[in-house]
Amino acid sequence: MFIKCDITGLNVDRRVVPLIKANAIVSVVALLIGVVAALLLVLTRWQVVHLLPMDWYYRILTLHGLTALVVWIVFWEMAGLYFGSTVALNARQVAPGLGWLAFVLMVVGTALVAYAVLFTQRADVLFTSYAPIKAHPIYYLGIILFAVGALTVAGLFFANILTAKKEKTYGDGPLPVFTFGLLAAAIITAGTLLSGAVIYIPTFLWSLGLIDSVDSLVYKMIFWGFGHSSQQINVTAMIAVWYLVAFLTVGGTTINEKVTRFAFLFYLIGIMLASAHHLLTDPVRSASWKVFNTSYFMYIAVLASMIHAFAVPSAIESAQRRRGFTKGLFDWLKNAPWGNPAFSAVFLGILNFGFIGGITGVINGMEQTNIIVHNTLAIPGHFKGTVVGGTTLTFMGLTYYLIPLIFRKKIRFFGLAKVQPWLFGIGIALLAVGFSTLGYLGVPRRHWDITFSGGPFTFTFPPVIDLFWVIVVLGGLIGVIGALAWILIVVASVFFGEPLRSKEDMQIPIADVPPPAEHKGFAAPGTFTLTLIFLTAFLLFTALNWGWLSVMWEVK
Amino acid sequence: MEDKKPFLERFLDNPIGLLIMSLGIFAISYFIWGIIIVLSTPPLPEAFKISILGGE
Amino acid sequence: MALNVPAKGWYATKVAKDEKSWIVISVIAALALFIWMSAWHLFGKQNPPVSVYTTTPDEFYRLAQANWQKYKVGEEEGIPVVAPPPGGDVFLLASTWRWEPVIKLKKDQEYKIHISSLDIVHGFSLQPVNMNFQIYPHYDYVFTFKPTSSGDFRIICNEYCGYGHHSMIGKIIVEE
Repeated sequence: MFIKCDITGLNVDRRVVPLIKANAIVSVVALLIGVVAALLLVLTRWQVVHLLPMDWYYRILTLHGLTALVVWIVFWEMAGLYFGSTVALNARQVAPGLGWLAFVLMVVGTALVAYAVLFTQRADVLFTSYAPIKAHPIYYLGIILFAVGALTVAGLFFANILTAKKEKTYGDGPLPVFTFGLLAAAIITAGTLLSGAVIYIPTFLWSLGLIDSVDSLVYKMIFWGFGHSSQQINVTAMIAVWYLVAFLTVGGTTINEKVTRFAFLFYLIGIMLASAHHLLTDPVRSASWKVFNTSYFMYIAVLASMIHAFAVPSAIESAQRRRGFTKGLFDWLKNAPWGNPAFSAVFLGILNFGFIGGITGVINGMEQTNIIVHNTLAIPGHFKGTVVGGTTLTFMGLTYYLIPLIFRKKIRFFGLAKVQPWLFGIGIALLAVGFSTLGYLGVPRRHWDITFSGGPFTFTFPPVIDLFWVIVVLGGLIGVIGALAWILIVVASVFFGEPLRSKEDMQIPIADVPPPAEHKGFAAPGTFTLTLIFLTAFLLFTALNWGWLSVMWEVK
Repeated sequence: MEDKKPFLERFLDNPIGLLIMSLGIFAISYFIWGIIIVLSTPPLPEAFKISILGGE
Repeated sequence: MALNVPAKGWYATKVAKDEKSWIVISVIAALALFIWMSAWHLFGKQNPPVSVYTTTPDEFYRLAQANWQKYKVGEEEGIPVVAPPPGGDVFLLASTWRWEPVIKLKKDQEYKIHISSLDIVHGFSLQPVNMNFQIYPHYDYVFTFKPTSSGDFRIICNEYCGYGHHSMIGKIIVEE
């Protein structure tokens, strides 16, 4: 059942490797569809081209939302859950047959959704499918099957780690921090998918005519219990991967296990209930409910993010300092392995996620400043920063290790690989900032024509939007090229790459763990400086937003 | 015999405990509280409706 | 190590000075955000309303018609122009794909604007002020608005409501 990996020394259950590979490969196919859709969409929103006609715009937008936000990421995460609960722990895979059943359910579910959207053309409902807008029943059925599959894999993750603990495959301490982070992600997955069952099953029955009607406000509240939690799976998994990549690239680990684990605990307490931030400007009769929930339980989960914002870079910094890069504040960063695309992807991912995604996110999620941004392009601007510039880029980065370690292939086009994270990271940053600015200027999201042709009145946005549309298109094109480059590298390596024979063949090394060292004073002064800069930027942007809000019309 | 580890150290190593805590807080604070608020939205008061529909 | 378990005694490891400082700063920031958002309800002038009532499309439509008849002052593009008195109620109707009526207000006066949808969910987006809210069928969301600027404003719909979504645009006029 087990073979010993000649590179890492870990015991690998032979039966889990094809499961990891299958899920990873499907995730890349989904990303390809999502990226092509993104290209069509950005060339439509830029009305100089206005590529897609009205119905196809909303159709492709639906497809893009599902393939990029859900299918790509969740299939990749399934591969990660398998890896983190078996290979990382020297443990066996419980019931691999069930894993294959789950895989089939997820693939069939995805196919049904794609069929409903593209062929029945009765599912132009967008990812949110807000009732009373109603899709073809097959659309909902596909999502339900996908969710059942994913929930099964989350269950297998739990089975694996409980079995590994019983069989003492990883010593007698707690789970390694990478797997512990994935555990947090798996718990949030359970919360997500159970909420998904509560919203999608009745809605499916309604689409079949078996239920009379669905209250639209109740729908939206339950939907986002599923919808936002699904994104918090991504955040948590991404952060777990950050710790793993810090270890692989520089031999670094969290400078304090207790602090990092408590941060994950705080996520478990408060991250899912912030789904309320989708209903801040909705007719819910309780400001207390809005404020308590949108604040991630009085900001305990935001505190967790801020803790990781220090813990992850300091893991890198402390390892680098122990390696001898102690000069000044940033010698450690200058001498980091920037030629390793896994490292550059993660570092750019941290910057995108924190500065663009995180700063805009807290503002979007404050009850009153949400008035400024709700349903404008600022919302996509925020989540391009988080899930595209952050999570997707991070997962792309770790994949550069999965190719040699799991697929046992060398990375083809390695020169391109070194540049790829920069293309994608910078492209998406431009796209996100462009969208956010347009949103602050009032431009709506999910809108086919901002000249309002056919309407009784005209309205023109401030002319400066033309500049920001160009920034959006530029960023979008660069990002698409970056994504296609990654897909090309992965496909070429996995299917046509040179086989990897031994550790010497690895183009990106697994770093040695640097010697321990006594450190006086600050453990990570460079990181501390970066986090203070981040905090300053955050407070500035926050102050600006509250200032802008205060000069708007009064409303209560 | 080793001293028993602190509660939180043990709790952090308890996947099922963490699962129950997390889902429980989520269910109560977001769903139950929220659904109660929405489902208890009152109808427009009769007196108000009459004042709108009525004459002067 | 990420792939190895933490060393014995990990739970008792002291927190480094800079990490501890950052955590303290973050806790203060987190509490400050929470208190600010809560306190804005007391001293801030922009808060999402909590006045909500259930209704039906039929009922809301009848109320709207009666209200518009009372305060109608004209018509634009076939849409009634309604000017409620300061302190008064006005009914704004969202439907696929129009906003009715055109509303005429006076600057620095308060009005109770009742907004509901006849069919599906729509997005109330006041431009160029850029204030955005969500409008539902079967719910009357009551906004006590005080326009602080005068001029010619638009209500665009920013919640996807079908293919004609982009043609859904209304108007609010604010006089000095």
